[in-house]
Amino acid sequence: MAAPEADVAAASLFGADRRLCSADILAPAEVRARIEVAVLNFLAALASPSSPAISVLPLISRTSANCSLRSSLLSDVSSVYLSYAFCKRSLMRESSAKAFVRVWKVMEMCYKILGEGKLVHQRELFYKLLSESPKYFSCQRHVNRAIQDVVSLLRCTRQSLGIMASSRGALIGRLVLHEPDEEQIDCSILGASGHAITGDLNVLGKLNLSSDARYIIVVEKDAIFQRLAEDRLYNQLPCILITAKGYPDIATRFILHRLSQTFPNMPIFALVDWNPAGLAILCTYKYGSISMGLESYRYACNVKWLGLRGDDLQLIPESAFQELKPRDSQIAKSLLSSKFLQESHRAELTLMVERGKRAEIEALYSHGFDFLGKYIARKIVQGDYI
Amino acid sequence: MASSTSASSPHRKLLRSLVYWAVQRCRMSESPCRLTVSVKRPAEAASASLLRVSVSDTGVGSKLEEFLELDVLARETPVEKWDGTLLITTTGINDEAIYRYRFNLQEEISSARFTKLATTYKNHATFSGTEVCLCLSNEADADGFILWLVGFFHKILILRAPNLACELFVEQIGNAESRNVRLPQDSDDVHHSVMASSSDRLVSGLKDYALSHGNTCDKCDTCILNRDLLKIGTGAANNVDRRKAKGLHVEVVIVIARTASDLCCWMVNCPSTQVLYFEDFVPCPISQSSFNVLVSTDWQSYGFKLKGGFIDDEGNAVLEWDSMTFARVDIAIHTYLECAMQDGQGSQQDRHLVRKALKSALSHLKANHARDFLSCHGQRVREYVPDLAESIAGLILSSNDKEFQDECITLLGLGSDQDSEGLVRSSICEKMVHIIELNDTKENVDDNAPYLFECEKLDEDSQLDEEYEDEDMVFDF
Repeated sequence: MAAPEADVAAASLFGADRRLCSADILAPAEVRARIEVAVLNFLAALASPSSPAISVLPLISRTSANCSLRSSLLSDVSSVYLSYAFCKRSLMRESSAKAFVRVWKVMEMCYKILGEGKLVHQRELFYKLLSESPKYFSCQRHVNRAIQDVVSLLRCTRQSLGIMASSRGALIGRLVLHEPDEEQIDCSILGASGHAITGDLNVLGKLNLSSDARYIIVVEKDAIFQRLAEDRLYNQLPCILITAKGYPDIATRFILHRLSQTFPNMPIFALVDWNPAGLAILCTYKYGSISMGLESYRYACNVKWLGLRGDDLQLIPESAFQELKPRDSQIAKSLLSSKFLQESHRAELTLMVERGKRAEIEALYSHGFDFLGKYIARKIVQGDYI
Repeated sequence: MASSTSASSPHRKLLRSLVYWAVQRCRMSESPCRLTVSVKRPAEAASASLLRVSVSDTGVGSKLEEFLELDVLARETPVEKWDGTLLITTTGINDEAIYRYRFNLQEEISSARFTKLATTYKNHATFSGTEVCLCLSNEADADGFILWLVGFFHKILILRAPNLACELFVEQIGNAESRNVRLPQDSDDVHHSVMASSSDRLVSGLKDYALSHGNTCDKCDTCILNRDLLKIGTGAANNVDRRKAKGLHVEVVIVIARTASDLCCWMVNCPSTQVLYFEDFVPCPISQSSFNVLVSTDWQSYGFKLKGGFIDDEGNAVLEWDSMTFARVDIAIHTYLECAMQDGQGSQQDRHLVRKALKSALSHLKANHARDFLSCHGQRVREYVPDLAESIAGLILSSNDKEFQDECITLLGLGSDQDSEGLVRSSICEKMVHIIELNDTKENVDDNAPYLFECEKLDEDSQLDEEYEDEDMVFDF
């Protein structure tokens, strides 16, 4: 069930693609057809005269044990992908019975949503399920996980199911967006909060993009994004600024990928805090995620780590350093044991753990509020990124 | 509770032993026998007055050896309670005479224990039997003793032993009818064919026990109407071939009233069960090994939630249940030797047989009423079925693809006019519940269950636990 890769680049990925498990981007009718097959199979097993049974749901395993790294030979993009290892959801096991029912409840919802030709937010879906089946859905996490289970069962993307996740992403800078039949949006003349990225991947896919920027800068935090936007960094340094305000949602990754495809000569730089969480965010943009591994491999980009890095620590006053928290250590441990972390990043991470300290980008303001822009420009010009 | 009311009360131990041997003597006789216990109590509880007790039976004659076993008991019992004397009258079927003895267990010199009294000649009459008379103190606990004796007799009657009629008379001398007891009562009218097995008799007896609310009241008219709604499980085990315990039989009977509506007089949930335990047709305190079998049984596989168990002051096993849907649970365990032994210690305990018989009785219940005795795990899974069925039915009926709907209806075995959501939902429900019952307590069911979709290639099958998923999905690295 591999998704049809349009380019020649696909042919170069050799063995990896045979093991790669992918969620297809499908039209509503096709998804409904898959759901119908699911129902028919289930009923057939129930009604079997010789050996009636309650079918077990085979879900692609979304764990680090089932993830691998695939590297493209023609481009410098690597992505994390999931392979054909399964975990079972069975009604007969008490530990997974509720999750089993949740999958069906979500499938029922999606079937109806797609039948009405709608696209629904994850948040709306949560409230609908909460009111109809409070026994099974008491928090957003239940809904999100059940949706990912359906993605992994039916092997189709979340948006194909008629569900989208709202994005917190924003971009600003030397970019003109043009939605078909809409007015152009010049992202260089927007307010400091920039242009909000929609969660609808279809809309993002149809955008026309034009830009004379030379760089794309991915910013971890909203505060930094706004600072740079207010200072109109992109007028001094021709660039596009993009942020997801924390963990990169699929929509932000999608648009970043589109930008990188549309403007292949624009390098992508990341500006994150010096802590394991910041590196994890960078890795998500760079390789994709495991939890949405069936889809996100498509949107991996070659992101380079601009700052904050170990070399920059001399710029930061001692008082600005903080202790690493237990959560940081957990993330660091997980990253260090992963398969994809490149050597230079591994060295940075090891330094963090050894020092036991973390620092935020804002610490650079100790040199003045305009220091950050200069810092970024200098680093790019000097090629100081990994 | 005061020790005088406990199973260790010497009066009770004494009576139990005397009745036990009387019953065995009756069993050894090949003809129908009668066992009679009579207690005469004085009009007032004067300090020097005594209870006159007699235990008589028409079984084979006594060899007197069994009375020697009362030695220890006699020595433990204060003289004021029992003076250690028994007046025994006995004759065997082939004896020419009826022999009478005074038996004094307090006597140190063994040769002087038995005193032979006047003999009566039978003059060619053919009968056998034994009568044992004794006097017990009429202390403050006499009421408790009599109450216990009545209960004891009620329990004997549950067994409905073949060829054995049991009677109990308690009379208060000098007082009219007020405190007299006569068992069995005229209203007890039970006829069993001679061919009925002891297991069937026990079932009948236990059912009546249940219907009379554990012998706490007369048979309830309303309950009798619902007699057939009681659910019965019987199990038996024996080791007739083994040399060690010849012909040891264990029978277990379980009687369940499913819901309060089955027998409307009772509480909604049964909190506890006092297990009836019999050895060789006589109620006994439960043996430790049998009690261990009871509490270590896998009740959950049959839908019972055992909270705990203990042995009460009277030597009965009490099982405490936790939030059960059964209104009443009655259990009887009977171990007996095929051939009664006059001088035996009673049937040897064999916990393997007890376990086997109990499991057999539970399996019997489950086999006949799978839905009512679904294991606790099965019950938990079953709770999800209505919601799941609702979801799938809703999905099917929301479709505007007629072909798909028709195919679903056909698969469910419904007619084309039976396409309402309610019918589809209940059809799916029924099928799922049936599968849950079918697979209840079976091992490895999951390994054989089909997958919803064919999986291209399984690298490994690992079970994803709910706990694992609790990890923050934000950072999956």
